[in-house]
Amino acid sequence: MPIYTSIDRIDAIEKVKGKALYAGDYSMDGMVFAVLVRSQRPHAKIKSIRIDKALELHGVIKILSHGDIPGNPFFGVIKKDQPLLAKDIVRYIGEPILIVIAESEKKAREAAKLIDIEYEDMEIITDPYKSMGSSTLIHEKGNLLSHRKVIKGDVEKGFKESDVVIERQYKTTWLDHAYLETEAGFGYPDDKGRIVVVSSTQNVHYKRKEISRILNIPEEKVRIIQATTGGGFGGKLDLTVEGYIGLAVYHTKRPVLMRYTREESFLSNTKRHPLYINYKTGATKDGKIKAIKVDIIGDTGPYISYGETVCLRAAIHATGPYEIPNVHVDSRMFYTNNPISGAMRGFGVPQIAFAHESQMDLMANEIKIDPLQIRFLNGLRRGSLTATSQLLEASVGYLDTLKAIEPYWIGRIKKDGRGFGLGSMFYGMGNTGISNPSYGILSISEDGKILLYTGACEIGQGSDTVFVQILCETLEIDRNDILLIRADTDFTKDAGSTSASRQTYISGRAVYNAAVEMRKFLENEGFYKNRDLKSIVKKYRDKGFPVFEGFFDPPTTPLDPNTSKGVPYATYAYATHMTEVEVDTITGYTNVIKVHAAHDVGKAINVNNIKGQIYGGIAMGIGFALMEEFIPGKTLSFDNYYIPTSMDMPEIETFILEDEEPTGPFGAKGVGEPALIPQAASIINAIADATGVRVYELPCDIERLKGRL
Amino acid sequence: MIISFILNGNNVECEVDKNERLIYTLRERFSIKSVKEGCGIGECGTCTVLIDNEPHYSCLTLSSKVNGCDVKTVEFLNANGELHPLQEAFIKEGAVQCGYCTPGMLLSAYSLLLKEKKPYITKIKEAISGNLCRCTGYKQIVEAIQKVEIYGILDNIPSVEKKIQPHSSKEEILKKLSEKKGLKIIAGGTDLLVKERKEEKTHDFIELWGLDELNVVKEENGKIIVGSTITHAELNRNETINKKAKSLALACGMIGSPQIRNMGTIGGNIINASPAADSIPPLLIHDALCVIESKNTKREVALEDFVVAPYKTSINEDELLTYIKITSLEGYREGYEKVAKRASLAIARLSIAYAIKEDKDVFQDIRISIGSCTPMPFRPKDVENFLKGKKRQEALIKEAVSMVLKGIVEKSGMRPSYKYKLPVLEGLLIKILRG
Ligand SMILES: Cc1cc2nc3c(=O)[nH]c(=O)nc-3n(C[C@H](O)[C@H](O)[C@H](O)COP(=O)(O)OP(=O)(O)OC[C@H]3O[C@@H](n4cnc5c(N)ncnc54)[C@H](O)[C@@H]3O)c2cc1C
Ligand code: FES
Ligand code: FES
Repeated sequence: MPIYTSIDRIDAIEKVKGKALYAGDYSMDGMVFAVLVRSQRPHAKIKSIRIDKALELHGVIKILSHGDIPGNPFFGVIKKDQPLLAKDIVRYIGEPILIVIAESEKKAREAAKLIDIEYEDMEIITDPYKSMGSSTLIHEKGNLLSHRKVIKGDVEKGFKESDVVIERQYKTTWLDHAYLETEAGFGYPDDKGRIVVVSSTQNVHYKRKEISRILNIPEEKVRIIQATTGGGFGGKLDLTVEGYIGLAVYHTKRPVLMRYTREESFLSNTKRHPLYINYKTGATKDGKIKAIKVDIIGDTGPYISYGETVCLRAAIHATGPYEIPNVHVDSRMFYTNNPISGAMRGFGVPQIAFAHESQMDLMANEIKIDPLQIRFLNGLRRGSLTATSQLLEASVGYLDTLKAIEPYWIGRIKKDGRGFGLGSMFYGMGNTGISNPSYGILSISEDGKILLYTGACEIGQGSDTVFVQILCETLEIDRNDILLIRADTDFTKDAGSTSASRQTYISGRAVYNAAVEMRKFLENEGFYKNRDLKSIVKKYRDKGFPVFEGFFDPPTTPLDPNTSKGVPYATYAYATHMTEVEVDTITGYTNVIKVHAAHDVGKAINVNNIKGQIYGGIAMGIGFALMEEFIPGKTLSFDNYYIPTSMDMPEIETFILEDEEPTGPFGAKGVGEPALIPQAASIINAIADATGVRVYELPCDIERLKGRL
Repeated sequence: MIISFILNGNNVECEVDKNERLIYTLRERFSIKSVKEGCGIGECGTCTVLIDNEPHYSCLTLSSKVNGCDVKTVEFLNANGELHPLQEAFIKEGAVQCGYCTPGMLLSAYSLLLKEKKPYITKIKEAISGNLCRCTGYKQIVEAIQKVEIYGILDNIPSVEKKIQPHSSKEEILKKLSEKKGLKIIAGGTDLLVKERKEEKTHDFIELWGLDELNVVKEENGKIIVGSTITHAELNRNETINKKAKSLALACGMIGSPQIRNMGTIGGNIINASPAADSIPPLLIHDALCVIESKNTKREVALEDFVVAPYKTSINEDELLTYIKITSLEGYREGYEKVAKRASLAIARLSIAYAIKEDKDVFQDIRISIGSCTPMPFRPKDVENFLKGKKRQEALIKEAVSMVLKGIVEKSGMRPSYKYKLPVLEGLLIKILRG
């Protein structure tokens, strides 16, 4: 079986039958329900809390507060700065204060409404520019969370050498992941007195660590299992319901279910960071980009979540997929009393791509060179040095994506009211400049099935299927001979989070490495000479079956704190989208007609999955470009947060290119985030082509566009 | 109360609470967990079920409504132990990612395929436009539905055995309304049940479903009579309406999503009286008269007088809107323009219904109505009269349109939203008048 043929998703059967159990679908005898009481103020001291009326309500079991946390009351992916339950101060609307536990969900919600909280309002900061240098401090250490720089060459010299310099300001807003399944989890004490939490998550091992710290019990007393998860996109990386469920099980010793309503999900999940970007580009007349100077100011909300990650990743990707000799990027994140911003598909790169791709088109227009040509001239290729001075040696398929698009770009025929736009991107696979290993463990069961233990969470992106394919290919076995044990802290080793487009590449490679070891063993046992697994198992029944552990940690180096010099990622994915739009100049409505999407994925392990990621990314990019906007204090649910429907989707043609990555499994890289990143930019460029009007603030919805026409 | 219905082919009976929603009954009383709550307010489609083979949002359906009905969830598709060709197609074409939207999506697709075995792509997209999916970008879903034939033979329409039983008659309802104060009439529930959730309150409902006498579209003495419980879907496909009140058919076809159109009624749309209600502008150009009845009274009020303020009509607590009478405009050039941020499930930012009768470029009759702009949708009658009998000319059109805009600002002052709306209105009106 060639690796590049798609097999059916292994989880699809249960899903089409409606049998797949998501966290909110669990139930158990004696189960109780937990709901959160949240802050209604953006920044305030809690003066008093009155819970007596709620406690009197029949069916209410317990109400837990900050004081009921036996261990560390703070959590956070990067730093432990976020109170699980607010103590004296709340810093955003929606911050959890109490957990109400009752016999039914209805009772718990009823009780929550009976709780009186008296606040003393404090000055609020709703804008990162006001946060900067304000005397109102959101945290004692100051309002600046992080400042990262990327410096290469000498930008002043670069601008001097340039014939044309273009400087513009860009702005993006809060976006919601809007996964169809809201955050949910189910917990219970097991018969050994341990705490088990089954949840909708992108990372089980991290969550076990948090719960163990919060409850001050050893990690082995906590077990986290991933339920079938209804989408993540970064929003289920942070601790969501798990901490509360853990605490509720700890105190009640009963099974506990918690699921956010859509309104709670909107209120509490981490948003895409709004970025304010000042972007200056200098180029020569013949289209060579000489220098960029970029200032990024981000609104991270009151707690860190992934703020530092986004700050750095946006800076590193500020050049776009271009080799630019002189680079100076300043990226700063400020605390505010807005919603917490965190990880969302692309970690700041979709925002910065909107800026760098707009700049490319502005420059092309100014020096009268074709937009595809200017990208080609400056594009990263083998031997290029990135902004962090990393030498790109292998799997640099950017120019191939341009070549794939080129015939359609040249052949485009502009009709009235229509326009075409390009958007390109590069994206580093995995975490930034830090170790981010994964494991895959293989064994054989009594009945002769290959067992794969992986800690990687399947959130819909298809990693389960990819791992099975890697095993089928490497071991030459049938998929029905493989049993997958996934994302359960009792049985699997930490695979890191399902984020940063890293699971196919990193965990896939770990699984591959384990498979190679197992294959050697099976060869010795004569498996490939007609000896079947069952008879091999027999031989080992008494002495125990060997276990094969695969490990992979992509080679990166730490980055210089002042210049970010180093190797932040072992490899990058590349993509170019070409989008055709039709703009109704009367209403400002943009109809996306067609998208050509070319992606260098290293190696396509599952074509259907890759296409699915690309289509889904395009949909999200359309939302980002044209309609999605979370307005704090106003957006409550899907009735005022529009994501694209089936009728908003264009025709799409994909081009899957394979410049193999030597460290990836069979040469594969990732595609989850790359699918989204160039889309909004290509739409904005297409709108500019159609109307002559360029928009610098997203979303470019009917009103914003009409206002500029 | 006890309800009995057919659930995935089996007769079932169960006790439900007052105001209980179908999603709760199915999940908690029948343990059917494939029906999911993604929003609870009719905006996502994960709770979709088929009622008498048509998709409905179970989060906005009171369980009492399905008494006597046929209800299907995704389990129906493989009830015989084998995957349905549609399920097979979803798997093979890569239409499933996280899978949370999948059960609802399958049901919307299945309902379409019952009506049309080889639907066009636009039909498919429309049929699933009330089911959001955040993962797939819909493309492989659409392809799966297109290619379903490859995966097996589609069964014939499973028979729907029972129809919604009349719960009561108009007389009975009027009697109850006269006897008890504080009752809240519920028709489709698509406004009311959303409001219940938002305002966190519950009502003492009096239900209109199954009232055959109101569920009609008929012609009488040159007028078209539309019963108040007719749904948007029915109006959208009704032949008479399409022929004689085209803008109404079009507007109803643009309301919400297929599920909302199967549930929401014209009566509810009028009584809710939102400035953005899609049926009101077309009704206005058709000179709609509302028939309002109570136990002892019956009155007819012009729709333009009936809506007295945003979200307010002059109906009394004991009254029922029974029928809407409209004028036929057969032979007119009729249309409906809806400006919104996305292509489905969107509230109008601005809307225009129009009906124009022309003879050799002379405006014989012209009717325009504008929604989502002023507190209540309205007809600029002065401008209509100004144009009547005049020959179409660019200068005339410009003058007429500027009269409309001026009238709006005079009436409701300069609102912040007018920065967007007035230029759009201007552009659209010019386009409409040019023909
Ligand atoms: C997701 C979603 C999308 C929507 N999209 C649109 C849209 O695009 N355009 C649009 O115009 N609307 C839209 N709506 C609003 C709603 O669907 C319509 O207004 C619908 O027509 C309401 O009808 P109903 O039968 O569901 O009303 P209900 O909710 O049952 O009732 C609404 C009100 O009318 C009263 N009422 C109903 N019938 C009568 C009667 N016969 N006599 C007296 N009082 C009565 C009720 O007491 C209540 O006050 C949307 C709603 C949702 C949830
Ligand atoms: S739960 Fe979203 S439409 Fe019903
Ligand atoms: S597959 Fe995830 S929402 Fe549709």
